[in-house]
Amino acid sequence: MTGMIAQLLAWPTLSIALLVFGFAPGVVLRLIVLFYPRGHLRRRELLGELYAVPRIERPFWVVEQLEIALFEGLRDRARAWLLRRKRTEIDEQGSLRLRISVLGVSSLSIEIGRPGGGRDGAAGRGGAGLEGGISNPAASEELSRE
Amino acid sequence: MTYALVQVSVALMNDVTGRHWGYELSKQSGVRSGVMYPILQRMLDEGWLTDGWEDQEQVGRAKRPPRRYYKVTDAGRAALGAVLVQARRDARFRPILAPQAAGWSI
Repeated sequence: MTGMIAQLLAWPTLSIALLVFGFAPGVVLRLIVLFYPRGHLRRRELLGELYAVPRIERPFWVVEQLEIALFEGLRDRARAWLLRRKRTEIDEQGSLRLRISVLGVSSLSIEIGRPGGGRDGAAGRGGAGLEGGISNPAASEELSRE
Repeated sequence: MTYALVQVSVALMNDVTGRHWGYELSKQSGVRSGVMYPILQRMLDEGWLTDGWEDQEQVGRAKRPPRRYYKVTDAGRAALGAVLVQARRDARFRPILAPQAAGWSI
């Protein structure tokens, strides 16, 4: 009877041990590295390093990586997002220039990529302001409608 | 100059020509990986270290993803040497520096 109880107790213990030291570290680490932006070298590096860490230390090592991923990974993600946003803004301004040139407006120039020349500040702060006059009145009307 | 920087510098200078792996470096230096990886990244940015990936042949045999290694550059050797020389003058770092001091080739 005691042997059977011991066996019942042993199986959950063994399952938990397998989960914590075998299965979970790899899965959790794969989730943790997702904090880093796509293509970040640390993603591959940490997955490679996991197998160099002794099994007994893996759960603790993995949790330690969460700490660094939260700071480094999220920071790099934020940077990548800001860069993408800036690039999109520049693309939008570039397409505006293209549209104007299609309308046949001469002596018109638009500054692209000027710091602070964002979407909202384009007209107000002069980030993407117009310099020179618009020689084509029809084009001017078309632009003001847009 | 921080304690962790000196510890990582000591670990790197103990095998200045060899390849250093993240986990092993963390063990040798006694610096947690949460602190060590940002230091390594700064050293890479400064040009003190170069990095690379394990050979595919070795990895294939071991059936695991390749690991990233770090190597000390010539500029890094000079810079890390300077860090250790500076650390030697500071009483805070004497316990870390005393045992290995004889072995470095700066």
